[in-house]
Amino acid sequence: MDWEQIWKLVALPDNVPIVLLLVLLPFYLWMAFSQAFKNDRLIARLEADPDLRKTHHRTTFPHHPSWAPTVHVWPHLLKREFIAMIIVTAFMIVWSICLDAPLEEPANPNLTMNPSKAPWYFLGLQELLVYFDPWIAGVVLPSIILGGLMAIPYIDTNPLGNGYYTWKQRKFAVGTFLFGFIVLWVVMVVIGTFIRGPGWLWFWPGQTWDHHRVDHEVNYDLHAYFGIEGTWPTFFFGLGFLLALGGITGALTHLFLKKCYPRMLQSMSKLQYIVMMQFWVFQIIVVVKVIARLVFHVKNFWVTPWFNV
Amino acid sequence: MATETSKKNSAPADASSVPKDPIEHGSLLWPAFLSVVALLISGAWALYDEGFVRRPYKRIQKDWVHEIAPKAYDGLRSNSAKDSARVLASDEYKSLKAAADAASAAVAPTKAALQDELVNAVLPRIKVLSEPVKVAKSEAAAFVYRAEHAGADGDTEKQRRYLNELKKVKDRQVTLRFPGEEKPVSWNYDQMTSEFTRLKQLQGDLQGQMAAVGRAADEAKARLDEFVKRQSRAIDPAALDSLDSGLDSFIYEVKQIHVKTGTGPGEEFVDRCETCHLGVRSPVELTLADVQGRKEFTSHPHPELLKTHDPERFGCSPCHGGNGIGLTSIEKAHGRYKHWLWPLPYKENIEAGCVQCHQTDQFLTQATTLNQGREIFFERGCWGCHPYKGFNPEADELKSMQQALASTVERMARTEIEVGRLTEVAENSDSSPEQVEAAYAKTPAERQKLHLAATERVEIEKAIAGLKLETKKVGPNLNEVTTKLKPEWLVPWLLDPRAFRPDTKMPRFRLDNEQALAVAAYLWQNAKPAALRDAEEGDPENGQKLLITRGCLACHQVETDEFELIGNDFAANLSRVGEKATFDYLASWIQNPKLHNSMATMPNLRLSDQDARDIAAWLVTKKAEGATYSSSEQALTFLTNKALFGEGERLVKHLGCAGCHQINGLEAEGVIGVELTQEGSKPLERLDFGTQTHAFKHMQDPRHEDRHSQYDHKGFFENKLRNPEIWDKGRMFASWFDRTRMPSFWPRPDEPGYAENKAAIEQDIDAVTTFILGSVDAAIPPALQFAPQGLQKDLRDGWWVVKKYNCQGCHQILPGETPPLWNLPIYQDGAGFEGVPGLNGRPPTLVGQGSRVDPDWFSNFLANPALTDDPEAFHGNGVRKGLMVRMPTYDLSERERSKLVRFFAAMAKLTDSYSRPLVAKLKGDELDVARAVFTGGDCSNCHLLGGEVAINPETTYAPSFEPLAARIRPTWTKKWITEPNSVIPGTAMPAIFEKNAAGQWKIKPMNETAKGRLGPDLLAKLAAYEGDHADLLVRYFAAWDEDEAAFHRMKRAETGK
Repeated sequence: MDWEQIWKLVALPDNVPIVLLLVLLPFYLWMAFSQAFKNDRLIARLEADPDLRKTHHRTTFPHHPSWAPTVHVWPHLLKREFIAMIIVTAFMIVWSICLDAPLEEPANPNLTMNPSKAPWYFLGLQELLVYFDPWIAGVVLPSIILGGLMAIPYIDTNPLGNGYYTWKQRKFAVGTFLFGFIVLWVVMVVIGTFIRGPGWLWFWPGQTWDHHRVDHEVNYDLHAYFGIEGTWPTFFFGLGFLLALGGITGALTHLFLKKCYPRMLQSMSKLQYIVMMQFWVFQIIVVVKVIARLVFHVKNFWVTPWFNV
Repeated sequence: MATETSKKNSAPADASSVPKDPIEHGSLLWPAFLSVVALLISGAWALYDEGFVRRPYKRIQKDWVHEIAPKAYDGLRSNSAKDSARVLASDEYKSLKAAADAASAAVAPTKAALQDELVNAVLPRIKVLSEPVKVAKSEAAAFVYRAEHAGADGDTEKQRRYLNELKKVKDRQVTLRFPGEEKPVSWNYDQMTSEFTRLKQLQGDLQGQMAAVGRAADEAKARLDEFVKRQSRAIDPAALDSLDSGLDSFIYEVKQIHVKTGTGPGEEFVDRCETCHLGVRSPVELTLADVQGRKEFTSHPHPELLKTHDPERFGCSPCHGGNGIGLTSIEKAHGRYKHWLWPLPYKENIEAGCVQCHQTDQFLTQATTLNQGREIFFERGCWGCHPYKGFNPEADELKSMQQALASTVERMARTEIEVGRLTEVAENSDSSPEQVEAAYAKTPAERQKLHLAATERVEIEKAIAGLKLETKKVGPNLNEVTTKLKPEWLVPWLLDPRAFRPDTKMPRFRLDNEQALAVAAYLWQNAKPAALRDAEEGDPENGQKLLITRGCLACHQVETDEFELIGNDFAANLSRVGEKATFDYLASWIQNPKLHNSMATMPNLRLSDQDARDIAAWLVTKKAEGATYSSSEQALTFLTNKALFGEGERLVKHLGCAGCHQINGLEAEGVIGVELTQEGSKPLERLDFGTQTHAFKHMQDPRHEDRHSQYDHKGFFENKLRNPEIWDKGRMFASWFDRTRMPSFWPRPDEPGYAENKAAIEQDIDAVTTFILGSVDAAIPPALQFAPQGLQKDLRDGWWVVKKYNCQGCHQILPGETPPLWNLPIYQDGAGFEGVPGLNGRPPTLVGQGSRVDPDWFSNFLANPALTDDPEAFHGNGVRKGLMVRMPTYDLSERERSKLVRFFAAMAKLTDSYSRPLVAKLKGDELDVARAVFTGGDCSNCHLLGGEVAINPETTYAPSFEPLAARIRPTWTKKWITEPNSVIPGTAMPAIFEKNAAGQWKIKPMNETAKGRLGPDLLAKLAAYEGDHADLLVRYFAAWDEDEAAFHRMKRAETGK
């Protein structure tokens, strides 16, 4: 175990946000879920009370049946935000005193650094470059992510959960978001930061980052596993595979939603449903591809003369 | 609103029983208070951090101002008092002081008179005039300006008006009252200005006269000051006081030098080193003791370097490296952290900074370590494998010249064919008139081309011949090993050259026995026997004497019967050469090395056959006691084993043997090593520490407390030099040929021989490391880089030749240096050995050589130091015929000779091109008088006249007069004959003249024998001569010829001396 290597990565000023993320993310998850569960229990209790059932009441803690369900932004929210602002400012000052900007030597186009890493918040996208063609990982996928984020308010029209934490009332929405955020962003960033060493090779935590490490790893296109050759056979095989994968994912999702959230399905328009399903399937395929590459050494699902997926 | 909503929705319960909503009514006082406190604390911390933590230099400056500097100045003040008391009491001071006082007293009256005139007659008038003249001039100038511009605008009316004004100004009468004159005068513009100009000229004249009159006094004073400065640390108490008061007004700030040489990128930088290094440019020297051991406050150890590299112009970091802007910590400022590419070198490598500008300078006066490193790089043949700009340029030039020759030859051939064709057309009766005419028209141009190409070819061939002479290899020619070597010696040598000769230049290759056999077999079978004459026996006793006295030891070392190991390590140590070489070969080699190795540096000492045989006869007796070799025929069968040839050849090629040795068939082998010209700026990642990267990242340097990692350039070079194999450690190779090829040049730390010589070896390694470390792609502004021209370029070029041929083995070239040969016991004062007259038997000093000899003559002398082709006289020196030690013949190319001549001229700072001055011929009695001075001065006592048959080396060590007129610059002669000791301190040349009252040089009074030699007639003429004897002798020498030599020889024969 190379503790020094671990310490170097953890202590690098560049990586401080990610180290903080690793601590803060579980903390806020715990906080959010514990409040959400508490609120869910409160809601259940209120729902069970025939007197209160029909009245408009506060569904979050601190709770008293006679307290107003909402309070004004000014001053109640703003004064809290102001204190938060002061605390964050103090924290940033301390941070800037303790950690200097991690400047390095002047850039030398003849000698790029190894590993050459993007800013920490882009490392998830950079990590995707391992699995996809650059134009897919760098252009198509970010566009889909942005598009998906923009589409959320139009897909998710459920008014429950506004202003308070809840799990019960928005299981699918919260679950999908956490999947996308943690698996596709946080985990990718963490891999890109702590796992990918010189040559973008996979170094487990504690392994020394050796610039001269020699490794043997060969990936094959999916069709090679099935002994398919030739441009067009592979083209159609890959296309068929992707369509099948998308179809199966979509069908399973549909069955799942139908069984667990029939009301949600009913409330969605056709357009909302199609858009949601598109993004959902894309998200799943990306994860499947990542796993297929890491575990099964599959280079590409779909090989065409112009691009590969 | 909120209350309204809550009222509407609240249950109709009793309002007083409902608890208050903490969100609406809870107090945030404490969180607000605490967070504001946190903000204030962090803000205060930020201020403190900015003011003190980020400016650690403030503490250092405080130490300097309040503690170190005042104490240092106090200490210096008391030292200087003691010092000056000592100096003032010394005799030399007193005599210099007396001379200075006398000189100033001598000129005092004249000076006072001049001063009087200046102060009383000139300056007061100037004072009266200067203001009115200034006013009038500027007024006039203003009107001239306005008039000009009015004219330019075409406004003639205005112009006329201004010209009128101008006239008024010029006509205006100004009343002036000069001191000492009763009536005031009234002058117009022209009168005032002309008088003012006259007075100013007068003032200049008077001041000039005063300076001229006082020059002798000033010089005496300067000598006195110089003496005081040299003797004491020469600290002026007044200077210390001003430094002290400077401390009172010290400002705590960043002290920086801003260098801007242009506007382009990399032409501007800032160095803040002096923010902490406050004493570095101190006008008084501050040693470590003065500043109480605080290294950061000492003054620069080489202030004379700062004179040529003024920090205001060069800054600090261009030479020293480090991050000139950095101030936050010592590591950062010195650039000793991962991301700064130009760290401050450690002390032993500090001269690395010189290389970037002085990369092609073979010698730098101040850089001892660097010179040593470069010398090792040069002498041990590192450049045989590693190309390095400036080393061995002849090989490349030769290649391009040979290509040029080939293309010229081809062009000639083509043109010849064309000429032939045209001739044929012209002569063919079948040709039409037009064809013939065309052929006639074209032929002259073609012939012209042919002629030009032929001229070009001659030039190229000449250059090639010169380059062939210049091209050297470090090692011997291996094409004659069968003739030269004893076969049994070869394999043990190849296995470990240092075992045979600990100080050999040959590095140790890590060959196993099989490989050594193969290499030996290849060399043996690849060699061609050398053509030798059958050498007769020699006399080893005489040989030994010759070896000691002829100058062999300027390059070689050997253990002699009489003395311990003596000589120089420029060439091989000969103490065991008898185990290695055959007598016949040695005899022939010593007589003419070029015959056997065209690339040998060893010169031809012009020894006679017999002398060469004698030396060889002694050398073959030089063997180590108890050295044994298995020389049976059976043990040596491998040498002729054809099966080994291929493997041997592969090894020889792989190991780059041809980089240092001439080997048949491998003349065109390329170099095998990596180019080192810019190795120091190679990215660290490209220096492969192999499996030891991690270990070296954590390896403390025992020499430097603050160097916790050896994973840097210094660590790589140093450790590789110590043990070339080091980065192979722990790696697995498919074949032996994948391993590091670099041989070891010193015993490795785990080998015998390291421990005993550790200090010397480590010093060598430091020196080479310094050289390589400094070999970088210079990042400093181009305007600051050194691009020598004129004398400086001559010096740079010359040093290469001087070092290449080891001129400094025999001759003193820099004042004060001691050539190794001068250190021999036979050349010590009072020593005598086989006709060598001790001190006077040494090869001459060449300090001042440039101003001494005629350049044309010098060049000829370098081509043939015997100055004759006469086979008899050839085995001797051309100038110092009496010296036992021999100036050898070097086969220098014309270019090298001219470089040497220019080098010595540049050393003597001679900027003008030289042409022989015309010297007035001797007239009337002058010849007789000159001869009388010559005889009376007893010149021929030490100097040979030329044409002598027997020479006594004990007395006639001085230069022969034979080449006198052509050799010596007449401009130099007078200084030499009158004050020889000031030209070459400690010379054996006596001063035969003294100055008389009129400042003329006259020959010193002679004793009776000398008078007797002259005879009364000549004595009378001598006494009657009114001129300067030294001048006369100079003119006499300038016209010296064989007749004069003959005259004096005859005269000497008559007088019996």
